[in-house]
Amino acid sequence: MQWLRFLLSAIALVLCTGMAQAQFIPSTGSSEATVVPPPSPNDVKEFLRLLGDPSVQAWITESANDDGTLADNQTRSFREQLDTQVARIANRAQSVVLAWQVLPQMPSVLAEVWATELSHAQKVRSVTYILIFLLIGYGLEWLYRQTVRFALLRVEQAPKDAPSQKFIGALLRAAIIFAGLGIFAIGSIGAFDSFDWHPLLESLVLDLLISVLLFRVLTTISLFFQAPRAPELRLVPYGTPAAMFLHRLVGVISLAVVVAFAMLYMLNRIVEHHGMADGSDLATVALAQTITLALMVVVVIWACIWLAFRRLPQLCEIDASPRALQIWRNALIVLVGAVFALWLGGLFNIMWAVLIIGLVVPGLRLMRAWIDHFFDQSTEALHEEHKAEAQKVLDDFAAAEAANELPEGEPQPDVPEFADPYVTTRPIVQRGARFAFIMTAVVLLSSAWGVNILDLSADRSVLGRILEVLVDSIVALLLADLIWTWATSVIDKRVADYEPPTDGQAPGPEARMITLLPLLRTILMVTLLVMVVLSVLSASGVNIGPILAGAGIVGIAIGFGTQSLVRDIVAGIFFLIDDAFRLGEYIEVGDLMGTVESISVRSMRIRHHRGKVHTVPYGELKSLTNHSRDWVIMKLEFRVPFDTDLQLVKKIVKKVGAELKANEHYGPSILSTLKSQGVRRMEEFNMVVGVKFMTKPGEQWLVRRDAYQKVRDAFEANGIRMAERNVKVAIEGGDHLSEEQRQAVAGAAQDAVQGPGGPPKPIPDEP
Amino acid sequence: MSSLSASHPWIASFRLQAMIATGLVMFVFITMHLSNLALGLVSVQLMEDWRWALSGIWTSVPPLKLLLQVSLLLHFALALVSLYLRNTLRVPAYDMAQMVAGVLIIPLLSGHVFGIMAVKDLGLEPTYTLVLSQFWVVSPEDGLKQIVMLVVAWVHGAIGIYTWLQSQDGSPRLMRFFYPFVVALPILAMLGYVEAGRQIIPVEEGGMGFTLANDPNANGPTVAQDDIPAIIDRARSGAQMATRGSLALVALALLARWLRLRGVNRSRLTVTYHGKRPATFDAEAGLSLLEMARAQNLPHASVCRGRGRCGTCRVRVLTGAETLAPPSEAEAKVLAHWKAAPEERLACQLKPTSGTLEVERVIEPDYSNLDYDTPKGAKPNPAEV
Repeated sequence: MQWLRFLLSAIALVLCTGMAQAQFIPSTGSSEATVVPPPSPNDVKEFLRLLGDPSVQAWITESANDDGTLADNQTRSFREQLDTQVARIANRAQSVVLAWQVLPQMPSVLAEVWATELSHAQKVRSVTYILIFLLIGYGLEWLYRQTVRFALLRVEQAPKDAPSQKFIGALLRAAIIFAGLGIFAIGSIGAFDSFDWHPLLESLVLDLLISVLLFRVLTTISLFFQAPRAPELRLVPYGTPAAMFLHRLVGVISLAVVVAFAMLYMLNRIVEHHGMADGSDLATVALAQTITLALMVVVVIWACIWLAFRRLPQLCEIDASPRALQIWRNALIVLVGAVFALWLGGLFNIMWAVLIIGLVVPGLRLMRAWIDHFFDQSTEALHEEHKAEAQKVLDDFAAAEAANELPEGEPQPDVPEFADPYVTTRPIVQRGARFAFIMTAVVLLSSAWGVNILDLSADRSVLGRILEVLVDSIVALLLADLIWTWATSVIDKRVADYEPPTDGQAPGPEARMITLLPLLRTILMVTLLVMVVLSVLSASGVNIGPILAGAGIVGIAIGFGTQSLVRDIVAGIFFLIDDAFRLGEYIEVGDLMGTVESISVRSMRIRHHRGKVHTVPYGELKSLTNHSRDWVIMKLEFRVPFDTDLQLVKKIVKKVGAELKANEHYGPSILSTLKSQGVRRMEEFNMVVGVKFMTKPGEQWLVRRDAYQKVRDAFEANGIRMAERNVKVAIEGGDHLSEEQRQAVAGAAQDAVQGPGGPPKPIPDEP
Repeated sequence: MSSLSASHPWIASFRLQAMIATGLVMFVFITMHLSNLALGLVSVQLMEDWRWALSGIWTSVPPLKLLLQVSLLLHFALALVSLYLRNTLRVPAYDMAQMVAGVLIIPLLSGHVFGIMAVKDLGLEPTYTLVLSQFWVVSPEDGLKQIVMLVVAWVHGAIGIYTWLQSQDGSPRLMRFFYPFVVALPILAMLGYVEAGRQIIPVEEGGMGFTLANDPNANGPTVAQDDIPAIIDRARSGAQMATRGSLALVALALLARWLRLRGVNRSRLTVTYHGKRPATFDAEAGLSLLEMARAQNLPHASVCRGRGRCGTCRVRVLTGAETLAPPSEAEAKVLAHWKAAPEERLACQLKPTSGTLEVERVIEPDYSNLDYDTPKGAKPNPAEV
């Protein structure tokens, strides 16, 4: 990882190269990019006259095709294109050679121009002006910096733990510094602009002031990332010495670039203003200057790369082999050289391609390392905490082991696992950054090649087609990858976080998601795959209409065939989303009852409490009764004789309720303990006293058992007896009946008591 | 400090006081001179009208002239002494700027001073038309030099005053006036200089070709024609001598400092900072604690940047106090001013020599726990908190 970090710093250098070289192009191509003036009235008249000319009309009609479009005479064969390219290179080589010849005369020519254009006094004065206006800018900026001094100090010095804090701090600081730069710009350039100047002098001074501003902006950007003096705000993964060194290198490169630009503009301006005396073409002179300055910049960058690779391994520990470093260094140097050579040859398109592709590969690796570092840093504190915690657990375990206090069945220490809070964010940020990086490279590349990505479909050339297919495929793949990474990381985390319920306990609401998530992941993968394949196919010109239609027909056929299967799956998804049942719950479906034992994609399995297993497809479920949710109310009845003291009953029930609640096993499960509801109804021979209680689902049976038992015992202890079915047979004047007669009467009454229905049915059983 | 100031504490105290006093005199002079330049924004005539009051007074009134000259020489001499006494040349940006500016002032200034003296010797009045046309038309290099000199002198003076003011009580109120002033005056002066130059530059070179209404120099030099080259030569050689002499003195001071430091036996010691940003490092004896911390890029509060005036670099010495020399009189004064606890010392005055030293910052590097307005207020004792 270290050597990646090291590369990150190297890339900063090379990026400057890209900027430096990129900027030289407009100056050489400026002759083509001339402003087109609007046509004069005469031109318009001439154009209209030509349009009205019959010969011209005839020519237009001739060259039109059957479908009315003009024949495309511009389409050139590959051979022709190659020829023009070669001709261009030859042309360029010629002008480079010319420039080379002009080069030795350059200093004297420039000195002459310099001497004739501006008097000595004017030159020195312009330096004075530049100095004064720069100082005004600096003075105002200093004033501003004094007012924000403590705020800035606080931002720089306050300890920051999370990377987001760091990032915000760095942004805040960059904002403060940039505001200062704005004030500097207003102070220097604004003060300068409020005077009237000699035009050449004005442009020269302005160029220089802007150069100074540009240089400061570049170094401020480097400051934003490297923060050599404020380690708390450093966004890059290396120490203060390396940051200082690299900041200096970036400063040197920026200086070289800015000086090259300032000189280039200044010289070109002077040459344009003056015109060349010795007949050499203006463009040649400009080219000669540009090449010299570009060469200077390239040499500076080479030196910086070389120096960086030499010094950095000493400044920060890099665990890359010296050989790998050497390879990277040489690659970067060759890249810079190749870019310069291509630029020299006038092959700007290829130069851009080489530059961008050359930078994408190390850039991607560096970015990855950088993001990793960012997350590592943010979890560092947590890591420490976790380490300490784990160590403590281990120590405790060792101590317990030494003291022989270990419980029997637990020979392993229970070390907590490290919970990375960014486990899902990290891959997403990685992929997102990669996506943005590659897209930027593609957009830059295409704009360098003069291809507008959005207009690609209008471009019918082979190259345009290939590029379009490539861009479309890359976009589709990257997007799909982004979505897939996000989805899998989220799903995997949830699945990993799920703790299956211990035996005998009802599972939480997570359980149903665990059922659903793998299914969703598979569905997502198939969808993404199909979409990517289809979009790549459609981008590469394959007509996907028939494929879609075919897939549609097959889909319909399969759909008809597997109608009930699909219905089961869809219904199941909705049942699960509704949270109608969970694993381990006691439910009632139609006339089936039981505990949910397993949930599959198509059906669920419920086990009756007497062991029967029912498999129910979701499609069959109309309604579902869940007995295991939140609470259960149970009502009991006692039959007591009419002469019972109801107040006493109430008291006894209350006492029993308190006893139940105090039970150590099921007491906590009782939500509302046993209480009397008074007389519920009167019956023929007795009163019915109702009692009720509320418990958590599943606990009611145990509580009911104890409630019956305790109430009965308490009644007996208090002399209340349960009403029994008895029949009083009153016989007028029956005092004289003999024992036998009495028994006969009782026997006759027996039938009346039992009624015609026979013995009572058994109560429906319960689990 | 050196053995000399250690044995005579009044020397160090005098050095500090005299430095500020002489500096203040020259700062007042520069302020007045720059105000005169700023008038150029209105017109050269106005500059000339106020010249006697804003600039001439320092050369025409003998006591003031003497005061200015003595101040300049004394200040320079004291600066050489403090350069000699410096432990390290790795100093903060402000000090570096002040040092470099201080070295540059005399070489830049000498031409201007001797030039004005030569003008007077020639029997001419140094009017602004004369001087400005010299600077803008005849010899623009000199004009450029003047701008550099103006900035260098102002930066040097402003940093000195700024540092002094910041360690005064109630400095936030003072600073409210000082900041705008210290930026506005040189800007106005430079703009006045540019505007006056635009008026002075002859019409054919794009200026306005301004001349004074009644020019005292209209009749040319009053001395004999033959003496003129001699006077100019004298001024040139005088300026050259001043330049070389000052640079040689600075070089001598640096050489003496190098010799002094070469002789010092450097033992190594370990310093540990406790508190919010703990750090441990090895350092070479001979530097002050503040300088050691800076060399390690450790943030450290220090408003006066190591002059022993402000008391913001205070540290609590946890272990190793016995190896340290007792506080000097100046340090004890500052510590008493802050009602510091006995174990507190100024990092800029503390010169650890050997062994290990464990300290803790009293004031955070971002000054978050420094109440500026009440430096004399009861400071919370860490033992109580």
